[in-house]
Amino acid sequence: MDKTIERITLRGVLPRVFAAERSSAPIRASQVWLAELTFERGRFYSVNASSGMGKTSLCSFIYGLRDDYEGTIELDGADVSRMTVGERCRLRSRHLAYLPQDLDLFPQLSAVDNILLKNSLTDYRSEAEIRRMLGRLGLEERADSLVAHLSVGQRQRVALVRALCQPFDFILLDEPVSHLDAANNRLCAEMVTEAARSLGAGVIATSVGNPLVLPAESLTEIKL
Amino acid sequence: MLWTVLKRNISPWQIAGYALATLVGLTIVLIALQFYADVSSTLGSPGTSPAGVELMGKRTKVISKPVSLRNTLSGKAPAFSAEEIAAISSQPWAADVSAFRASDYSVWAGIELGGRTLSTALFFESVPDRYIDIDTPDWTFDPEHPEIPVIIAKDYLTLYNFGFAASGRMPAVSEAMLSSIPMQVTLSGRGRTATLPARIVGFSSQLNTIAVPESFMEWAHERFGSDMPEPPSRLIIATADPSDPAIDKYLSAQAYDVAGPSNDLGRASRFLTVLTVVIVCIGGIITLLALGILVLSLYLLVQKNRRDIAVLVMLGFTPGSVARRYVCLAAAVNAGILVLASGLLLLLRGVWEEPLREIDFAPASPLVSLFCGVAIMAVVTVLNVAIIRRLIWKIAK
Repeated sequence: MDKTIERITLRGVLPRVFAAERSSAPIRASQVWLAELTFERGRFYSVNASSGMGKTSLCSFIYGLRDDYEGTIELDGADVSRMTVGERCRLRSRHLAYLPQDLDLFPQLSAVDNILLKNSLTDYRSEAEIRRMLGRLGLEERADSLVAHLSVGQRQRVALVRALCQPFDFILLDEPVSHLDAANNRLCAEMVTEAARSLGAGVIATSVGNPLVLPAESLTEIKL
Repeated sequence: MLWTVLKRNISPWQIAGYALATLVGLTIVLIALQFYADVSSTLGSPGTSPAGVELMGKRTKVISKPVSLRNTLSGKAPAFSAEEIAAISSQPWAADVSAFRASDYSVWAGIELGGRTLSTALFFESVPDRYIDIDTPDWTFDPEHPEIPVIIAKDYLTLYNFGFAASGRMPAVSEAMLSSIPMQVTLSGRGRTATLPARIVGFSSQLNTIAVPESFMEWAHERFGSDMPEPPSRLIIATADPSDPAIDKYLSAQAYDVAGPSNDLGRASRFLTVLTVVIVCIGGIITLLALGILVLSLYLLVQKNRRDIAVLVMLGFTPGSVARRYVCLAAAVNAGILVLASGLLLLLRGVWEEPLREIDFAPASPLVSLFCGVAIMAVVTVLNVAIIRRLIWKIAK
């Protein structure tokens, strides 16, 4: 899969863990589970839900990390669950960027090395550019600190820069600013918006009440 | 940077333990193989090193039947029937069976020695040329220019020098001197007589006879031999493994006489083979146990790094690119072990190489053992690679 992904389509998707609750009010009210939903490239989506509704599951399903769901998820018609490991790896370095909720940084590496590690795979940005991005998010002084020594909010920003160190058609952000104040939320949102617009990419950001402040004019709110 | 992540939890002590155990196992295997090759290479080339042939047992055996009173009275040597020859040929250890062909005409030889003419009645025998253990271009007979090449048993010369000559009546002679003395051989039979020049072209430690080429024997038989050829009284048997105990068992059961020394030293050769197999097995088991240590270490390492590996794959690194780092580590460790084991082999080989040369053994090239070492470590490395890939792909899926 080397051509641009234009849309991500969910058809009747439901995490298996919710199988017994398929008729419950929250599932019936969801615009995602058991529904037909298409995310389009170039548009921004804010997926909002209360805790335990499966935001992380949704990101993991689309990103191909898990397949414990019923229904299908297609990337331009290609079923994610049927992709090979090689295809998924290519997808993750060329088409889909992902900021996981638990960040998945390497604590033994510095902030900048965590990002350079991803960048060594994609060769997308220079180290100077990466340091500028960290500086823009207020982490210039912390770039060479071990991730183990950073606060959760700082780690979130490091993980965001890492997610932006690759070409992408869609970026999945799982509660990207849950530990950030309004000012840092705005800075992160600006950076994501710039990167997405420069690539014509789509943004799917989840939240539990502290959403990434994406531009309202191209934003679609989705209730999970 | 990827390595910085992956090398976490690698225990130098575990690697050192694996390396040491594999080094010991591989070195034992290589030393056993090399020692066996050094000793058996001499066994494989009879004639080039008499000491080795004597030690290991001959590849060819000459057999005859015991002479009985009936043979004495009848005036005929005990002979092998066609059925008996076929029975011997059918034995699994008998690679080839041929008959000694004796001259069935009168042979009289004369030489000039010390100003005196010595002449004596003789006999000739022939065996197929492949059994001749003397490598000489003179071993041919041309009827147009007839000169008879003769090979005599070393034992005959020894008997002459230390028995007959030592009695004080005759001078002792060397092999070179005897070879240079021209001989006249008179053949007679069927009313014909011919005198031909002859020359000793070699001294055999294998053939206890006076041997002439088969082509000469055929030529002489047509002119001087009888019309009723006698059945063979001696057979020469080529064996694939002279130390095979089945040979002695069969020959004893048939009450055949075997020329030369007993096969006790052949049994020693058998023992050596068994000992080598046992040592190779011990070395192999140590190597396998070491491989077990490595497999457990790899499982442990991958389990400890499971989260990091999963994150790398989540970031888009392929399982192959992650596995490659561990594969390189295993290959480097295995290459180091191979180099050290090869060095130890070459070093320790000096312990037996010179003493073997002193007793006329020709030690084999170490290349075969080194190749075995490369092959063993290649197999071990392939196993390592397969295990690493399997573990990492399991996490990636």
